[in-house]
Amino acid sequence: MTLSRRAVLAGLGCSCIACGAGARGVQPIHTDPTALAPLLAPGFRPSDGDERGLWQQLDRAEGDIADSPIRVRDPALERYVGNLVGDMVGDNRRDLRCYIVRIPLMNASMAPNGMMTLYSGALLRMRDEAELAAVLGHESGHYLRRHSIASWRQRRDATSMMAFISVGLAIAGGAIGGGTSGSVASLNNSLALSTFRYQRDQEAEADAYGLKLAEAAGYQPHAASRFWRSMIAERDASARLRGKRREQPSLLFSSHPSDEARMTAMQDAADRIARPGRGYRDGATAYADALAPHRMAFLDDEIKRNDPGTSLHIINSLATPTWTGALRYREGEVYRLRGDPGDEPLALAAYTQAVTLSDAPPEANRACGYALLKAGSGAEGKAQLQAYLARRPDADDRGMIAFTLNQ
Amino acid sequence: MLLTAGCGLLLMSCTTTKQFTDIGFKAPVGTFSVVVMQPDVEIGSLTAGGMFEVRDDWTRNAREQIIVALKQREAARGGSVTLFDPATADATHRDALLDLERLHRVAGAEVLKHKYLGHSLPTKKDRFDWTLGPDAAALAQATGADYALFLYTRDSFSSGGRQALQALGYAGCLVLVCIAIPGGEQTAFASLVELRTGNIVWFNLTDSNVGDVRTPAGAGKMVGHLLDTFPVGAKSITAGR
Repeated sequence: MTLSRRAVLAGLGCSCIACGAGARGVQPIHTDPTALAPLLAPGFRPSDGDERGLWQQLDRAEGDIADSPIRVRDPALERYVGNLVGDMVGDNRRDLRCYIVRIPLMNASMAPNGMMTLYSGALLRMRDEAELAAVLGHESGHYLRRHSIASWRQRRDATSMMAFISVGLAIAGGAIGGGTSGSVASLNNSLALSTFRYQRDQEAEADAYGLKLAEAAGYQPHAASRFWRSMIAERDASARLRGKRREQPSLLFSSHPSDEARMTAMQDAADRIARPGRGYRDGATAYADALAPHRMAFLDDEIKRNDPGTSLHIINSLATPTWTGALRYREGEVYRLRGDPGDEPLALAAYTQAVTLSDAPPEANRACGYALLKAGSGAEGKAQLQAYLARRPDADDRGMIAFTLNQ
Repeated sequence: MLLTAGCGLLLMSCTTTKQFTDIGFKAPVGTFSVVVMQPDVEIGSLTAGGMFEVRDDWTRNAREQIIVALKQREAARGGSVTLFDPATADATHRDALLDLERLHRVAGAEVLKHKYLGHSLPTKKDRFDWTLGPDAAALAQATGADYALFLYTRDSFSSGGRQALQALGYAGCLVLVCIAIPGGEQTAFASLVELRTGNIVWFNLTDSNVGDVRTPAGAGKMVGHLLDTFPVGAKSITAGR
């Protein structure tokens, strides 16, 4: 359901920040962020037939997302994200609407009608407002530079050209009696590749635009490259635990520049755009406060994806510099759910540390209790289960726990 | 790939309408009412490369023409039509009704896929048992109707570029390389839901170009095709409250 909706949105010309993997080795164009200006005025409404049709379809998709059960319905969090977008885009603030959806992946997308979608997995991974500003700025850049409609038109024209080439050369081949399939294939391949190339250039431009918007709003411009560095480290960690190398995407058939290339380009751009002596903020405290009611729920979604390398990387990153009981409990959960040989002691060690910290949820006592029982420490295990029942008197599984305690 | 698709589509160009009825469904007798949901319409042009480009003006126009055609058809039979759009419902029912409309959008697409387009499901081979579930009763409460009629129309018209490509394909016949490029396509279905149970009790599809739905004549023809076998008698399509 989620996948198909994403596919639909992609088909309708939504630009997303990390759809699939990017092209390795393709250097993004080094756009000068300061040279980019909005291509539409505040209150923009499309007048061209194709763009109006696209908006009509997206308006309906927006209704679906607005009413969807996966939308995170927290007015405070929506206001927080919306205000941050508004601060960056200024007069265009009324044209952009941001929806937070509960999907545990790192992504965000922008539709041509101003509907921005931010995944909970992106919020989970960010450490401060400056990183959030980089992603929201990138998506706003797609909107302000009218990327969706330009991309749609590019694809429409390229596929039309391909159709004419196929038919024209097939007929020419019939007329002169020679095979033309080789020329058809090579011409059409180059047209198809031009579409990928076009999208990669748009992504690079949106990166640059996002940097400009975030810097102007007073956010540390190096946050963007820092965030991408962390994404690279996460993918490496995920691949390492699976005993594989990180997916190396195709050089040509990618709609996005590679993570490394993006990181380097954004770091260079940040070096150039940063104004010496200007005090930039990262907004780490405000960000942590805004996300606090949801962070552990978003992390629980992530853990259920069964990608322990990614989950542990995120947990370790959130636990820097300080481990909390809530994070130690989740660390134990990752090991318990993976269940490889040697994971039980790792899970037990994490649970044991979790319950000594003040903010561990009651479920940490339960998990610790069962892990201790399994490890043969009956009395200590039962004490933890009793602590769980004491902390959660109305627990659904009270009967089951009582049964274990009476064994 | 373009050419293979073309041949496949050419074979389907004859008029096909085939209706499905829920097993055990009996056309109602006595007094009952049918609410007509806001028709789900998207009309656009087919680009030379085969992409569908929606046009909002054509879509709006076609939706209006379909509604007019429906009203005229029922007026001729002595009935009347009132449309219902969940978006205009009062706040307490709005979300549930919009969800129901979305659910039908998915269910209708599934019927289309599995009953008409060849992807038949082993468990639904010889029967027709699609349902929106008991939540459909919310629509009965909101409108006072016994049944809801959903109409879906997608239509595409060849763009100038597509027509040029078609002409080029035919011109190829001069050197004995005839290439038939398919033009725009129409797909429309009507679906009747029994609101007490939520079951789709009757479904009919037309996938032929019976007429240009942006015009009164074309819309009238399409609505006529779709509802020819509509199982309930005259004076039936009336909204509740």
